[in-house]
Amino acid sequence: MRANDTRPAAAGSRSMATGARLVAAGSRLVAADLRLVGRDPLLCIMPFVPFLAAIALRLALPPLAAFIAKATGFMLLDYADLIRVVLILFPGTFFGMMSGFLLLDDRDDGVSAYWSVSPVGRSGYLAARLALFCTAALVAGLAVGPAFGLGGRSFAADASVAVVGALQAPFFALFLAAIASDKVEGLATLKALSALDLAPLAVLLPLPARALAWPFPQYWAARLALGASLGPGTGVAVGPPEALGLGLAVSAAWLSFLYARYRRRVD
Amino acid sequence: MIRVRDLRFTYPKGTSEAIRGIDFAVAPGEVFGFLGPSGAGKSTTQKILLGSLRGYSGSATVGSVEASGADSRYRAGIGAAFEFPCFYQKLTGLENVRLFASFYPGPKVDPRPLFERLGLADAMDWRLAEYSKGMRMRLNLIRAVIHRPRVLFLDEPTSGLDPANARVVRDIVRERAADGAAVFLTTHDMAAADATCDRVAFIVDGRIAACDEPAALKRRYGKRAVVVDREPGPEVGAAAGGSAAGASDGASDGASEKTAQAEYPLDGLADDAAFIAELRKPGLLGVRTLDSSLDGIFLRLTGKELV
Repeated sequence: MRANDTRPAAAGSRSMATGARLVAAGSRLVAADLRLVGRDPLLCIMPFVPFLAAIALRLALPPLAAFIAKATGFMLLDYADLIRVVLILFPGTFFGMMSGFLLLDDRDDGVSAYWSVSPVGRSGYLAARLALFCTAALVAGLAVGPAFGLGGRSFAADASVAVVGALQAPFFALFLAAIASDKVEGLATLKALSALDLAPLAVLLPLPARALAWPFPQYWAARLALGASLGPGTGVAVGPPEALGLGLAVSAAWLSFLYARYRRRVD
Repeated sequence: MIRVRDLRFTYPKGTSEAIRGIDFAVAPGEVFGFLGPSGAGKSTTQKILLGSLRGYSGSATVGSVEASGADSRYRAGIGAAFEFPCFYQKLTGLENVRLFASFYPGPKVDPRPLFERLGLADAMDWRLAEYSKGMRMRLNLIRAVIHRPRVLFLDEPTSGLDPANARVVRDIVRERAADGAAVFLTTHDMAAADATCDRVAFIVDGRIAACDEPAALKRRYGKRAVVVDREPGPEVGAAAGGSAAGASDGASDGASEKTAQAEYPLDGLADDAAFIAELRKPGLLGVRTLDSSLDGIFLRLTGKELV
Protein backbone atom coordinates (compact mmCIF):
# COMPACT_ATOMS: atom_id res chain seq x y z
CA MET A 1 0.00 0.00 0.00
CA ARG A 2 2.76 2.33 1.00
CA ALA A 3 4.74 1.43 -2.09
CA ASN A 4 1.70 2.15 -4.24
CA ASP A 5 1.32 5.53 -2.62
CA THR A 6 4.88 6.55 -3.35
CA ARG A 7 4.96 5.24 -6.92
CA PRO A 8 3.44 8.29 -8.64
CA ALA A 9 5.70 10.62 -6.66
CA ALA A 10 8.75 8.54 -7.57
CA ALA A 11 7.71 8.51 -11.23
CA GLY A 12 7.19 12.26 -11.05
CA SER A 13 10.61 12.91 -9.58
CA ARG A 14 12.18 10.58 -12.15
CA SER A 15 10.57 12.46 -15.03
CA MET A 16 11.64 15.76 -13.45
CA ALA A 17 15.19 14.47 -13.20
CA THR A 18 15.04 13.33 -16.83
CA GLY A 19 13.72 16.74 -17.83
CA ALA A 20 16.49 18.48 -15.90
CA ARG A 21 19.09 16.25 -17.57
CA LEU A 22 17.66 17.06 -21.01
CA VAL A 23 17.73 20.78 -20.28
CA ALA A 24 21.31 20.53 -19.01
CA ALA A 25 22.39 18.53 -22.08
CA GLY A 26 20.63 21.00 -24.38
CA SER A 27 22.35 23.92 -22.64
CA ARG A 28 25.76 22.31 -23.13
CA LEU A 29 25.07 21.76 -26.84
CA VAL A 30 23.89 25.35 -27.18
CA ALA A 31 27.01 26.61 -25.38
CA ALA A 32 29.18 24.56 -27.75
CA ASP A 33 27.39 26.00 -30.77
CA LEU A 34 27.84 29.55 -29.46
CA ARG A 35 31.55 28.85 -29.05
CA LEU A 36 31.74 27.49 -32.62
CA VAL A 37 29.99 30.57 -33.98
CA GLY A 38 32.26 32.82 -31.92
CA ARG A 39 35.35 31.27 -33.52
CA ASP A 40 34.19 31.68 -37.12
CA PRO A 41 34.58 35.26 -38.38
CA LEU A 42 31.90 34.86 -41.07
CA LEU A 43 29.35 33.30 -38.73
CA CYS A 44 30.13 35.99 -36.14
CA ILE A 45 29.01 38.74 -38.49
CA MET A 46 25.82 37.06 -39.73
CA PRO A 47 23.59 37.77 -36.69
CA PHE A 48 24.15 41.50 -37.16
CA VAL A 49 23.34 41.65 -40.88
CA PRO A 50 19.52 42.03 -40.46
CA PHE A 51 20.08 44.88 -37.96
CA LEU A 52 22.62 46.60 -40.20
CA ALA A 53 20.15 46.33 -43.08
CA ALA A 54 17.29 47.67 -40.92
CA ILE A 55 19.31 50.65 -39.65
CA ALA A 56 20.70 51.43 -43.12
CA LEU A 57 17.17 51.43 -44.56
CA ARG A 58 15.86 53.50 -41.67
CA LEU A 59 18.41 56.18 -42.52
CA ALA A 60 18.36 55.89 -46.30
CA LEU A 61 14.74 55.18 -47.10
CA PRO A 62 13.08 58.52 -46.20
CA PRO A 63 15.42 60.69 -48.32
CA LEU A 64 15.36 58.09 -51.09
CA ALA A 65 11.54 57.96 -50.99
CA ALA A 66 11.38 61.78 -51.14
CA PHE A 67 13.73 61.81 -54.12
CA ILE A 68 11.69 59.13 -55.97
CA ALA A 69 8.41 60.86 -55.14
CA LYS A 70 9.73 64.13 -56.51
CA ALA A 71 11.12 62.52 -59.63
CA THR A 72 8.35 60.03 -60.47
CA GLY A 73 5.43 60.61 -58.11
CA PHE A 74 5.82 57.05 -56.79
CA MET A 75 5.25 56.87 -53.00
CA LEU A 76 7.80 54.32 -51.81
CA LEU A 77 6.95 54.79 -48.14
CA ASP A 78 3.44 53.53 -48.83
CA TYR A 79 5.15 50.14 -48.90
CA ALA A 80 6.97 50.56 -45.58
CA ASP A 81 4.77 47.89 -43.98
CA LEU A 82 5.82 45.37 -46.60
CA ILE A 83 9.50 46.31 -46.32
CA ARG A 84 9.19 45.89 -42.56
CA VAL A 85 7.81 42.35 -43.08
CA VAL A 86 10.76 41.43 -45.33
CA LEU A 87 13.18 42.76 -42.71
CA ILE A 88 11.51 40.91 -39.82
CA LEU A 89 11.82 37.69 -41.85
CA PHE A 90 15.55 38.30 -42.46
CA PRO A 91 16.87 36.87 -39.15
CA GLY A 92 15.21 33.52 -39.91
CA THR A 93 17.16 33.39 -43.17
CA PHE A 94 20.49 34.41 -41.65
CA PHE A 95 20.28 32.28 -38.53
CA GLY A 96 19.15 29.39 -40.72
CA MET A 97 22.21 29.87 -42.93
CA MET A 98 24.48 29.81 -39.88
CA SER A 99 22.84 26.71 -38.53
CA GLY A 100 22.89 25.06 -41.95
CA PHE A 101 26.60 25.66 -42.42
CA LEU A 102 27.31 24.23 -38.98
CA LEU A 103 25.26 21.15 -39.88
CA LEU A 104 27.14 20.81 -43.17
CA ASP A 105 30.46 21.09 -41.32
CA ASP A 106 29.38 18.45 -38.82
CA ARG A 107 28.13 16.14 -41.53
CA ASP A 108 31.36 16.49 -43.54
CA ASP A 109 33.56 16.05 -40.45
CA GLY A 110 31.53 13.04 -39.25
CA VAL A 111 30.63 14.73 -35.96
CA SER A 112 26.90 14.19 -36.52
CA ALA A 113 27.58 10.45 -36.91
CA TYR A 114 29.45 10.49 -33.60
CA TRP A 115 26.56 12.18 -31.82
CA SER A 116 24.33 9.34 -33.00
CA VAL A 117 26.31 6.83 -30.88
CA SER A 118 26.44 9.12 -27.84
CA PRO A 119 23.68 9.48 -25.23
CA VAL A 120 22.59 12.70 -26.95
CA GLY A 121 21.58 10.85 -30.12
CA ARG A 122 21.29 12.43 -33.55
CA SER A 123 17.79 13.76 -32.83
CA GLY A 124 18.84 15.44 -29.57
CA TYR A 125 21.82 17.08 -31.21
CA LEU A 126 19.73 18.34 -34.12
CA ALA A 127 16.88 19.52 -31.87
CA ALA A 128 19.25 21.55 -29.66
CA ARG A 129 20.89 23.22 -32.64
CA LEU A 130 17.67 24.05 -34.44
CA ALA A 131 16.03 25.28 -31.23
CA LEU A 132 18.98 27.60 -30.52
CA PHE A 133 18.91 29.26 -33.93
CA CYS A 134 15.11 29.32 -34.07
CA THR A 135 14.96 31.11 -30.71
CA ALA A 136 17.70 33.51 -31.74
CA ALA A 137 15.82 34.26 -34.97
CA LEU A 138 12.64 34.97 -33.02
CA VAL A 139 14.37 37.40 -30.65
CA ALA A 140 16.18 39.10 -33.52
CA GLY A 141 12.95 39.22 -35.56
CA LEU A 142 11.20 41.02 -32.72
CA ALA A 143 14.05 43.51 -32.45
CA VAL A 144 14.50 44.23 -36.16
CA GLY A 145 11.10 45.96 -36.55
CA PRO A 146 11.85 48.70 -33.98
CA ALA A 147 15.38 49.02 -35.43
CA PHE A 148 13.79 49.78 -38.82
CA GLY A 149 11.33 52.18 -37.21
CA LEU A 150 9.18 52.69 -40.32
CA GLY A 151 5.80 51.12 -41.09
CA GLY A 152 4.29 48.50 -38.82
CA ARG A 153 0.66 48.17 -37.81
CA SER A 154 0.88 46.57 -34.37
CA PHE A 155 3.20 44.63 -32.08
CA ALA A 156 0.96 41.58 -32.55
CA ALA A 157 1.46 41.73 -36.32
CA ASP A 158 5.24 42.14 -35.96
CA ALA A 159 5.38 39.30 -33.43
CA SER A 160 3.34 36.98 -35.67
CA VAL A 161 5.66 37.69 -38.59
CA ALA A 162 8.66 37.08 -36.29
CA VAL A 163 7.22 33.68 -35.31
CA VAL A 164 6.80 32.62 -38.95
CA GLY A 165 10.25 34.07 -39.66
CA ALA A 166 11.83 32.13 -36.79
CA LEU A 167 10.58 28.89 -38.33
CA GLN A 168 12.57 29.75 -41.44
CA ALA A 169 15.79 29.16 -39.46
CA PRO A 170 15.26 25.37 -39.28
CA PHE A 171 13.88 25.48 -42.83
CA PHE A 172 17.09 26.98 -44.25
CA ALA A 173 19.29 24.83 -41.99
CA LEU A 174 17.66 21.56 -42.98
CA PHE A 175 17.43 22.58 -46.63
CA LEU A 176 21.20 23.17 -46.73
CA ALA A 177 22.07 20.02 -44.81
CA ALA A 178 19.61 17.81 -46.70
CA ILE A 179 20.29 19.03 -50.24
CA ALA A 180 23.88 20.31 -50.43
CA SER A 181 26.79 17.88 -50.68
CA ASP A 182 29.35 20.35 -49.33
CA LYS A 183 29.84 24.00 -48.45
CA VAL A 184 30.33 25.08 -52.07
CA GLU A 185 27.04 23.47 -53.05
CA GLY A 186 25.60 25.00 -49.90
CA LEU A 187 26.48 28.50 -51.11
CA ALA A 188 24.89 27.80 -54.49
CA THR A 189 21.78 26.45 -52.76
CA LEU A 190 21.60 29.59 -50.65
CA LYS A 191 21.71 31.79 -53.73
CA ALA A 192 18.70 29.93 -55.11
CA LEU A 193 16.91 30.09 -51.76
CA SER A 194 17.48 33.82 -51.38
CA ALA A 195 14.64 34.32 -53.89
CA LEU A 196 12.32 33.30 -51.05
CA ASP A 197 13.14 36.58 -49.30
CA LEU A 198 11.08 38.24 -52.00
CA ALA A 199 8.07 35.92 -51.57
CA PRO A 200 6.23 38.54 -49.45
CA LEU A 201 6.22 40.85 -52.46
CA ALA A 202 3.83 38.40 -54.14
CA VAL A 203 0.99 40.10 -52.23
CA LEU A 204 1.32 42.87 -54.80
CA LEU A 205 0.73 40.49 -57.71
CA PRO A 206 -2.69 39.68 -59.17
CA LEU A 207 -4.05 36.17 -59.20
CA PRO A 208 -3.17 33.63 -60.49
CA ALA A 209 0.51 34.73 -60.38
CA ARG A 210 0.18 35.38 -56.65
CA ALA A 211 -0.74 31.71 -56.08
CA LEU A 212 2.84 30.72 -56.94
CA ALA A 213 3.87 32.07 -53.53
CA TRP A 214 1.23 30.18 -51.55
CA PRO A 215 3.52 27.20 -50.72
CA PHE A 216 5.97 29.55 -49.00
CA PRO A 217 5.54 30.75 -45.39
CA GLN A 218 7.12 34.11 -46.21
CA TYR A 219 4.08 34.98 -48.33
CA TRP A 220 1.69 34.17 -45.48
CA ALA A 221 3.77 36.31 -43.14
CA ALA A 222 3.11 39.28 -45.41
CA ARG A 223 -0.59 38.43 -45.58
CA LEU A 224 -0.95 38.32 -41.82
CA ALA A 225 0.91 41.60 -41.38
CA LEU A 226 -0.96 43.44 -44.10
CA GLY A 227 -4.28 41.82 -43.21
CA ALA A 228 -5.90 42.06 -46.67
CA SER A 229 -8.08 39.49 -48.41
CA LEU A 230 -6.76 37.14 -51.06
CA GLY A 231 -8.02 39.55 -53.63
CA PRO A 232 -11.00 40.07 -55.87
CA GLY A 233 -12.50 37.11 -57.60
CA THR A 234 -11.32 34.41 -55.18
CA GLY A 235 -14.30 34.52 -52.87
CA VAL A 236 -11.93 33.69 -49.97
CA ALA A 237 -10.95 36.19 -47.32
CA VAL A 238 -7.83 35.52 -45.29
CA GLY A 239 -7.53 37.42 -42.04
CA PRO A 240 -4.40 37.59 -39.90
CA PRO A 241 -5.26 34.51 -37.77
CA GLU A 242 -5.89 32.37 -40.85
CA ALA A 243 -2.74 33.68 -42.51
CA LEU A 244 -0.74 32.88 -39.38
CA GLY A 245 -2.23 29.38 -39.30
CA LEU A 246 -1.40 28.84 -42.97
CA GLY A 247 2.12 30.18 -42.45
CA LEU A 248 2.72 27.78 -39.57
CA ALA A 249 1.13 24.86 -41.42
CA VAL A 250 3.21 25.42 -44.55
CA SER A 251 6.35 25.76 -42.38
CA ALA A 252 5.54 22.50 -40.56
CA ALA A 253 5.03 20.67 -43.86
CA TRP A 254 8.38 21.90 -45.20
CA LEU A 255 10.19 21.02 -41.96
CA SER A 256 8.74 17.48 -41.94
CA PHE A 257 9.77 16.92 -45.54
CA LEU A 258 13.28 18.36 -45.05
CA TYR A 259 13.87 16.49 -41.78
CA ALA A 260 13.03 13.20 -43.52
CA ARG A 261 15.45 14.10 -46.35
CA TYR A 262 18.16 15.03 -43.85
CA ARG A 263 17.77 11.74 -41.93
CA ARG A 264 17.96 9.75 -45.16
CA ARG A 265 21.12 11.61 -46.07
CA VAL A 266 22.98 11.12 -42.78
CA ASP A 267 21.73 7.65 -41.72
CA MET B 1 28.56 -8.28 -22.29
CA ILE B 2 28.20 -8.46 -26.09
CA ARG B 3 26.25 -11.36 -27.52
CA VAL B 4 25.47 -11.92 -31.19
CA ARG B 5 23.33 -14.80 -32.36
CA ASP B 6 22.52 -15.74 -35.95
CA LEU B 7 22.89 -12.10 -36.97
CA ARG B 8 21.84 -11.33 -40.53
CA PHE B 9 21.58 -8.02 -42.32
CA THR B 10 20.88 -6.84 -45.85
CA TYR B 11 21.25 -3.19 -46.83
CA PRO B 12 18.06 -1.65 -48.25
CA LYS B 13 19.53 -1.42 -51.76
CA GLY B 14 21.66 -4.56 -51.40
CA THR B 15 21.04 -7.66 -53.45
CA SER B 16 22.66 -10.06 -51.02
CA GLU B 17 23.18 -10.33 -47.27
CA ALA B 18 26.06 -8.26 -45.87
CA ILE B 19 25.98 -10.35 -42.67
CA ARG B 20 25.09 -14.01 -43.09
CA GLY B 21 24.32 -15.52 -39.73
CA ILE B 22 27.19 -14.84 -37.36
CA ASP B 23 27.52 -15.82 -33.70
CA PHE B 24 29.98 -14.63 -31.09
CA ALA B 25 30.16 -13.27 -27.56
CA VAL B 26 32.55 -10.89 -25.82
CA ALA B 27 32.88 -11.20 -22.05
CA PRO B 28 33.65 -8.35 -19.62
CA GLY B 29 37.40 -7.85 -19.48
CA GLU B 30 37.95 -9.41 -22.89
CA VAL B 31 39.51 -7.80 -25.97
CA PHE B 32 37.84 -9.31 -29.03
CA GLY B 33 39.43 -8.68 -32.40
CA PHE B 34 37.15 -8.62 -35.43
CA LEU B 35 39.36 -9.10 -38.46
CA GLY B 36 38.65 -9.29 -42.12
CA PRO B 37 39.10 -7.59 -45.49
CA SER B 38 37.24 -4.45 -46.49
CA GLY B 39 33.60 -5.16 -47.24
CA ALA B 40 33.54 -8.38 -45.23
CA GLY B 41 30.99 -7.06 -42.73
CA LYS B 42 33.12 -5.69 -39.88
CA SER B 43 31.76 -2.14 -39.94
CA THR B 44 28.20 -3.36 -40.51
CA THR B 45 28.39 -5.57 -37.43
CA GLN B 46 29.85 -2.71 -35.42
CA LYS B 47 27.14 -0.29 -36.59
CA ILE B 48 24.45 -2.78 -35.59
CA LEU B 49 25.98 -3.17 -32.12
CA LEU B 50 26.27 0.62 -31.77
CA GLY B 51 22.55 0.87 -32.46
CA SER B 52 23.08 2.83 -35.69
CA LEU B 53 21.74 0.15 -38.06
CA ARG B 54 18.39 -1.48 -37.51
CA GLY B 55 16.34 -3.91 -39.53
CA TYR B 56 18.59 -6.91 -38.86
CA SER B 57 17.44 -10.40 -38.02
CA GLY B 58 18.79 -12.60 -35.25
CA SER B 59 20.01 -10.99 -32.06
CA ALA B 60 22.70 -8.46 -31.16
CA THR B 61 22.77 -7.41 -27.52
CA VAL B 62 25.01 -5.25 -25.37
CA GLY B 63 24.52 -5.81 -21.66
CA SER B 64 21.37 -7.88 -22.39
CA VAL B 65 19.73 -4.98 -24.25
CA GLU B 66 18.89 -5.55 -27.91
CA ALA B 67 20.78 -3.12 -30.16
CA SER B 68 17.64 -2.33 -32.17
CA GLY B 69 16.23 -0.73 -29.01
CA ALA B 70 19.33 1.37 -28.32
CA ASP B 71 18.43 4.48 -26.37
CA SER B 72 20.46 7.10 -24.52
CA ARG B 73 21.02 4.74 -21.56
CA TYR B 74 22.31 2.01 -23.90
CA ARG B 75 24.65 4.47 -25.60
CA ALA B 76 25.83 5.90 -22.26
CA GLY B 77 27.53 2.58 -21.51
CA ILE B 78 29.41 2.54 -24.80
CA GLY B 79 32.63 4.19 -25.90
CA ALA B 80 33.39 4.37 -29.60
CA ALA B 81 36.37 5.39 -31.69
CA PHE B 82 35.67 5.44 -35.40
CA GLU B 83 38.36 4.76 -37.99
CA PHE B 84 38.16 8.38 -39.16
CA PRO B 85 38.29 10.61 -36.08
CA CYS B 86 35.59 13.26 -36.09
CA PHE B 87 35.87 16.37 -33.95
CA TYR B 88 34.91 20.02 -33.95
CA GLN B 89 37.72 21.67 -35.86
CA LYS B 90 37.34 25.03 -34.16
CA LEU B 91 37.54 23.63 -30.63
CA THR B 92 40.76 22.57 -28.93
CA GLY B 93 41.60 18.96 -28.18
CA LEU B 94 40.74 19.35 -24.51
CA GLU B 95 37.52 21.26 -25.28
CA ASN B 96 36.42 18.52 -27.66
CA VAL B 97 37.07 15.77 -25.14
CA ARG B 98 35.34 17.66 -22.33
CA LEU B 99 32.34 18.55 -24.49
CA PHE B 100 31.64 14.96 -25.53
CA ALA B 101 32.39 13.61 -22.05
CA SER B 102 29.90 16.02 -20.49
CA PHE B 103 26.99 14.10 -21.99
CA TYR B 104 27.88 10.81 -20.28
CA PRO B 105 26.63 10.15 -16.76
CA GLY B 106 28.90 9.07 -13.93
CA PRO B 107 32.51 9.77 -13.04
CA LYS B 108 35.05 10.54 -15.74
CA VAL B 109 38.76 9.89 -16.06
CA ASP B 110 40.93 13.00 -15.74
CA PRO B 111 41.88 13.64 -19.39
CA ARG B 112 45.19 15.41 -18.69
CA PRO B 113 47.22 12.29 -17.74
CA LEU B 114 45.87 10.56 -20.87
CA PHE B 115 46.93 13.53 -23.01
CA GLU B 116 50.40 13.28 -21.48
CA ARG B 117 50.63 9.55 -21.88
CA LEU B 118 49.65 9.73 -25.53
CA GLY B 119 52.11 12.52 -26.26
CA LEU B 120 49.44 15.20 -26.65
CA ALA B 121 50.16 17.30 -23.55
CA ASP B 122 51.55 20.18 -25.60
CA ALA B 123 48.66 19.99 -28.07
CA MET B 124 45.89 19.93 -25.47
CA ASP B 125 44.99 23.56 -26.15
CA TRP B 126 45.52 23.47 -29.90
CA ARG B 127 42.50 23.64 -32.15
CA LEU B 128 41.75 20.38 -33.94
CA ALA B 129 42.56 21.94 -37.31
CA GLU B 130 46.21 21.92 -36.17
CA TYR B 131 46.24 18.21 -35.26
CA SER B 132 47.88 15.63 -37.54
CA LYS B 133 46.10 12.37 -38.38
CA GLY B 134 48.07 10.46 -35.78
CA MET B 135 47.25 13.04 -33.11
CA ARG B 136 43.55 12.81 -33.96
CA MET B 137 43.69 9.03 -33.67
CA ARG B 138 45.15 9.33 -30.18
CA LEU B 139 42.56 11.95 -29.22
CA ASN B 140 39.92 9.58 -30.58
CA LEU B 141 40.96 6.99 -28.01
CA ILE B 142 40.90 9.52 -25.16
CA ARG B 143 37.33 10.49 -26.06
CA ALA B 144 36.28 6.84 -26.24
CA VAL B 145 37.61 5.88 -22.78
CA ILE B 146 37.13 9.11 -20.81
CA HIS B 147 33.73 8.09 -19.39
CA ARG B 148 34.84 4.57 -18.39
CA PRO B 149 32.49 2.72 -20.74
CA ARG B 150 31.50 -0.88 -20.04
CA VAL B 151 31.83 -1.66 -23.74
CA LEU B 152 34.43 -0.17 -26.04
CA PHE B 153 34.19 -0.24 -29.85
CA LEU B 154 37.49 0.60 -31.52
CA ASP B 155 37.92 0.76 -35.28
CA GLU B 156 41.56 0.65 -36.42
CA PRO B 157 42.83 2.33 -33.23
CA THR B 158 46.50 2.11 -34.24
CA SER B 159 46.07 3.30 -37.82
CA GLY B 160 48.57 6.01 -38.71
CA LEU B 161 50.46 5.72 -35.41
CA ASP B 162 54.19 5.25 -34.96
CA PRO B 163 55.22 2.06 -33.11
CA ALA B 164 55.77 3.85 -29.79
CA ASN B 165 52.32 5.48 -29.77
CA ALA B 166 50.70 2.30 -31.10
CA ARG B 167 52.13 0.51 -28.09
CA VAL B 168 50.72 3.09 -25.68
CA VAL B 169 47.32 2.73 -27.37
CA ARG B 170 47.48 -1.06 -26.99
CA ASP B 171 48.46 -0.65 -23.34
CA ILE B 172 45.48 1.63 -22.67
CA VAL B 173 43.13 -0.80 -24.39
CA ARG B 174 44.47 -3.66 -22.25
CA GLU B 175 44.08 -1.53 -19.12
CA ARG B 176 40.45 -0.79 -19.94
CA ALA B 177 39.87 -4.51 -20.38
CA ALA B 178 41.61 -5.20 -17.07
CA ASP B 179 39.18 -2.70 -15.56
CA GLY B 180 36.30 -4.89 -16.76
CA ALA B 181 35.38 -3.36 -20.11
CA ALA B 182 34.48 -5.58 -23.05
CA VAL B 183 36.48 -4.37 -26.05
CA PHE B 184 35.36 -4.96 -29.64
CA LEU B 185 38.26 -4.10 -31.90
CA THR B 186 38.18 -4.11 -35.70
CA THR B 187 41.50 -3.82 -37.47
CA HIS B 188 43.67 -4.75 -40.42
CA ASP B 189 46.75 -4.53 -38.20
CA MET B 190 47.40 -8.18 -37.42
CA ALA B 191 50.37 -7.36 -35.18
CA ALA B 192 48.15 -5.11 -33.08
CA ALA B 193 45.45 -7.77 -32.97
CA ASP B 194 47.96 -10.41 -31.95
CA ALA B 195 49.43 -8.21 -29.23
CA THR B 196 46.13 -6.90 -27.87
CA CYS B 197 43.33 -9.39 -28.37
CA ASP B 198 42.33 -12.29 -26.14
CA ARG B 199 40.37 -13.78 -29.03
CA VAL B 200 40.01 -12.90 -32.67
CA ALA B 201 37.39 -13.73 -35.28
CA PHE B 202 38.05 -13.65 -39.02
CA ILE B 203 35.00 -12.52 -40.95
CA VAL B 204 34.85 -13.31 -44.65
CA ASP B 205 31.91 -12.44 -46.91
CA GLY B 206 29.61 -11.88 -43.94
CA ARG B 207 30.49 -15.16 -42.20
CA ILE B 208 32.91 -15.93 -39.39
CA ALA B 209 35.52 -18.24 -40.88
CA ALA B 210 37.49 -18.80 -37.66
CA CYS B 211 37.30 -17.61 -34.07
CA ASP B 212 39.70 -18.43 -31.25
CA GLU B 213 42.66 -17.19 -29.22
CA PRO B 214 45.47 -15.93 -31.49
CA ALA B 215 47.88 -18.55 -30.15
CA ALA B 216 45.40 -21.37 -30.76
CA LEU B 217 44.72 -20.15 -34.30
CA LYS B 218 48.42 -19.90 -35.02
CA ARG B 219 48.90 -23.46 -33.87
CA ARG B 220 45.87 -24.72 -35.79
CA TYR B 221 46.90 -23.10 -39.06
CA GLY B 222 50.62 -23.62 -38.53
CA LYS B 223 52.86 -26.70 -38.81
CA ARG B 224 54.04 -28.80 -35.84
CA ALA B 225 57.69 -28.46 -36.66
CA VAL B 226 60.79 -26.42 -35.91
CA VAL B 227 63.23 -24.93 -38.32
CA VAL B 228 66.93 -24.60 -37.63
CA ASP B 229 68.49 -21.61 -39.36
CA ARG B 230 72.19 -21.81 -40.04
CA GLU B 231 74.81 -20.12 -42.07
CA PRO B 232 74.98 -21.93 -45.39
CA GLY B 233 77.46 -24.81 -45.59
CA PRO B 234 77.92 -28.03 -47.54
CA GLU B 235 76.65 -30.24 -44.71
CA VAL B 236 73.31 -28.49 -44.06
CA GLY B 237 71.37 -29.88 -46.96
CA ALA B 238 72.49 -33.38 -46.01
CA ALA B 239 71.17 -33.13 -42.44
CA ALA B 240 70.02 -36.60 -41.50
CA GLY B 241 66.34 -36.68 -40.63
CA GLY B 242 65.87 -33.05 -41.54
CA SER B 243 64.54 -31.56 -44.71
CA ALA B 244 65.08 -28.29 -46.44
CA ALA B 245 62.41 -26.08 -44.92
CA GLY B 246 60.18 -23.92 -47.00
CA ALA B 247 58.39 -20.84 -45.93
CA SER B 248 55.10 -21.57 -44.20
CA ASP B 249 52.39 -18.92 -43.89
CA GLY B 250 54.94 -16.22 -43.70
CA ALA B 251 56.67 -17.75 -40.68
CA SER B 252 60.00 -17.74 -42.51
CA ASP B 253 59.59 -14.20 -43.78
CA GLY B 254 62.31 -12.91 -41.51
CA ALA B 255 64.93 -15.42 -42.65
CA SER B 256 67.64 -14.20 -44.99
CA GLU B 257 67.74 -15.70 -48.47
CA LYS B 258 71.29 -16.81 -47.73
CA THR B 259 70.27 -18.67 -44.57
CA ALA B 260 70.20 -22.45 -44.75
CA GLN B 261 67.22 -24.07 -43.10
CA ALA B 262 66.38 -27.55 -41.92
CA GLU B 263 62.98 -28.63 -40.62
CA TYR B 264 62.28 -31.18 -37.88
CA PRO B 265 58.90 -32.45 -36.65
CA LEU B 266 57.90 -31.20 -33.20
CA ASP B 267 56.77 -34.65 -32.04
CA GLY B 268 59.71 -36.55 -30.55
CA LEU B 269 62.00 -33.58 -31.03
CA ALA B 270 63.86 -34.17 -27.76
CA ASP B 271 64.90 -37.64 -28.98
CA ASP B 272 65.62 -36.62 -32.56
CA ALA B 273 69.33 -37.32 -32.96
CA ALA B 274 69.49 -35.47 -36.26
CA PHE B 275 68.05 -32.35 -34.65
CA ILE B 276 70.54 -32.58 -31.76
CA ALA B 277 73.35 -33.02 -34.24
CA GLU B 278 72.15 -30.05 -36.22
CA LEU B 279 72.31 -27.88 -33.13
CA ARG B 280 75.93 -28.90 -32.52
CA LYS B 281 77.12 -27.87 -35.94
CA PRO B 282 78.86 -24.52 -36.36
CA GLY B 283 77.03 -21.56 -37.85
CA LEU B 284 73.78 -21.94 -35.89
CA LEU B 285 71.66 -18.80 -36.27
CA GLY B 286 68.46 -19.81 -34.47
CA VAL B 287 65.63 -22.24 -33.96
CA ARG B 288 61.98 -21.30 -34.56
CA THR B 289 58.61 -23.00 -34.62
CA LEU B 290 56.42 -23.06 -37.69
CA ASP B 291 53.38 -21.59 -36.01
CA SER B 292 51.38 -19.57 -38.45
CA SER B 293 51.10 -15.78 -38.10
CA LEU B 294 47.79 -13.91 -38.05
CA ASP B 295 48.86 -12.34 -41.34
CA GLY B 296 49.22 -15.81 -42.82
CA ILE B 297 45.90 -16.96 -41.44
CA PHE B 298 44.23 -13.82 -42.80
CA LEU B 299 45.66 -14.55 -46.23
CA ARG B 300 44.66 -18.18 -46.08
CA LEU B 301 41.09 -17.51 -44.94
CA THR B 302 40.32 -14.47 -47.02
CA GLY B 303 42.52 -15.01 -50.03
CA LYS B 304 43.43 -11.34 -49.82
CA GLU B 305 46.76 -9.69 -49.07
CA LEU B 306 46.91 -7.13 -46.28
CA VAL B 307 47.82 -3.64 -47.36
